[in-house]
Amino acid sequence: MALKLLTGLFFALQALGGELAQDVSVKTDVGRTVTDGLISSDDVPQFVQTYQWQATAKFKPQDSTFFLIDSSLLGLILEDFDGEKNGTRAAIAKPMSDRRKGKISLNEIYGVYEPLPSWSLTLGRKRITWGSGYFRNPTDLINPSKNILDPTAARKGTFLGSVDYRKESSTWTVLRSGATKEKENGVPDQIYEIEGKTREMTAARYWTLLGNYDLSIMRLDDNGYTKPGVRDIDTGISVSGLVVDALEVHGEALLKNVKGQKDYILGFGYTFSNESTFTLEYLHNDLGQSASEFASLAKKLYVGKKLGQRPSGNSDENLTGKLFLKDHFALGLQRYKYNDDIFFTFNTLINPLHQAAALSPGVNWMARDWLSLSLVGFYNKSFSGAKLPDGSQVSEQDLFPMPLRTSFEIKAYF
Amino acid sequence: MNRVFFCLVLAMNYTFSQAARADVTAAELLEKYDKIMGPTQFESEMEMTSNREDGTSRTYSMKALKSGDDKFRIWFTSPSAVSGQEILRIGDNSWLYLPNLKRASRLANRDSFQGGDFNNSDILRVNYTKDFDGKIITSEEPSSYKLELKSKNKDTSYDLIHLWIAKSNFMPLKGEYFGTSGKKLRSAEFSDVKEFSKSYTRPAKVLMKNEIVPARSSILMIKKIKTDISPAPQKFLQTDLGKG
Repeated sequence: MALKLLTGLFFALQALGGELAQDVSVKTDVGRTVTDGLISSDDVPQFVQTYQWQATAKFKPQDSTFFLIDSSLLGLILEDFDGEKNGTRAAIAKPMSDRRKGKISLNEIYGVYEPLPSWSLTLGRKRITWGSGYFRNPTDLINPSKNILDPTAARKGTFLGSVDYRKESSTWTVLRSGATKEKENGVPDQIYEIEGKTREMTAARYWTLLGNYDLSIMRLDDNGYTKPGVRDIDTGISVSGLVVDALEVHGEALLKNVKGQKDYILGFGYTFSNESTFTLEYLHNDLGQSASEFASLAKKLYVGKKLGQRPSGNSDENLTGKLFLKDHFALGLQRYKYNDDIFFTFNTLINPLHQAAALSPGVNWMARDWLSLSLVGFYNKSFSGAKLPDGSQVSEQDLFPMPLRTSFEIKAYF
Repeated sequence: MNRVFFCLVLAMNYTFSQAARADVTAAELLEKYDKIMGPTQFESEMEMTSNREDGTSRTYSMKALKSGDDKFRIWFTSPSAVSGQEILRIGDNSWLYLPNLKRASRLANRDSFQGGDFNNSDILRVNYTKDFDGKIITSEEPSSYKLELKSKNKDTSYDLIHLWIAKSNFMPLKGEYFGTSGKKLRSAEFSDVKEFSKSYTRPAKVLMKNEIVPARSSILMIKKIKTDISPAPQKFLQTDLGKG
């Protein structure tokens, strides 16, 4: 029913003169889990095939009105679950309902109305990003989190209503939203877990261009950030600018009123003459684990394992976000050109405390202007970590049950 | 006798070239170029085809909106892979908006425009009066003025430009673009002069040849252009990107 309704909406907008852009993709993820780690791999599929049809329809019946629908139809095949039985690797049998999944994902559906050029009203499900961070946006409290090792990943939107008052070089925005969260199979897509499953937010932002720097100042009234139902008003700030023609600097911070907690990133991006871009960001979040807190958590997980009570890497939604430390560096090289159609990327999240990193090299081939192929790898490597009672060491990266994974995607645009 | 004749020819040539220079100044020619190639405000539909060294080509369609000397916005409409991308320029700031990220990243002026042979500033920043000091030099072609433009702004993509402008109608004919090392980077040919409205005529086609990789070139075609418009200033805000 939902599919029929969506398809009908897309074609109705197209029939009315709207633009329709579609793509279909097949993505295959293959990985190898660690079955005897501190976190159970029982729920982590080593083979995932994703079939996706995505469509975006835009319709502008008049200058003051704009509608957009962005939706995906997804089919998932999840196979090859391995766990540990009697100290050895063993296949885990899963019912069909865990191995075949399908869903319709309504990423965005919204309308914009401008009664006057200076006023703009938006209503619907929409993705917004107010901050300037590349790998992470501390001020983005309302969109579902994204995979930090894939800065190009699309996010889903959230239902919101907003009013913009726009002057020549500044904009005031007031927004009211609900919130949604999502995580991908086997790979944590957020690095800090926030308590509370659903949140609502009232937010205001002032954006302006000061010389060659754009500045956003935000107030975010989030009813569930600290505890569900507890009001928490945070201040957000974001700035970015070009220092010289090819060097961009940026910073984004969320200053929480609770105990003065801070969540911020500072970084820069440099564009080389071959148009590849190198980005380096320092990420800090007071909500992360200190060295002693992490050591205590690792010890607790170790004791749990000895007692045969390991948390799951996939279904324990509260766990993954609590594993992360306070400080990281994120480093990326985007669009390193081999030729006009083939580009390399490299992203990594570095944990300096444990001399550990999550590495993600990739290559993208735009074979035709309607066809792209991409191959991305994910690999965790660490050189030290918190000491366990048996003398071994475990880093933040070592805890994830799938330290090695590759992803191959074919996408056709039409 | 021959020497006298040769001197006479030289003197006449000098006199005529001085006369030609006297009837128009470099500043006036630059102003005319800017008015033709980058009128103060316009909305247009354009198509850029980039021809690559492997023999393949890519064509991008876009809509553009310009207001004043320093505000420019582009919406890419095809192919599907780039549909929804937008570019905004405000003064020295340029952003590329990617619809899947819902975020605008800053662009450098020297970056190529969608991987073709035009630089961002060739498309987004047509204001030679502001960016270059010009002088008229002797043209090899008597029917055209030749301008030598020297960059006075670090944000320009070229250090030196040679520009040929038709004496008859002040339409640009061709250009040569040099880097700081003195190397010729690009050369352009302007053609298909078309009257888009009673008050506005310009070359509809610009062929930009890549002089570093001679097999590469890009063609910019102006399909439609309207200059009698008054764009709302709100269309040139970073916060308007992605709103259609």
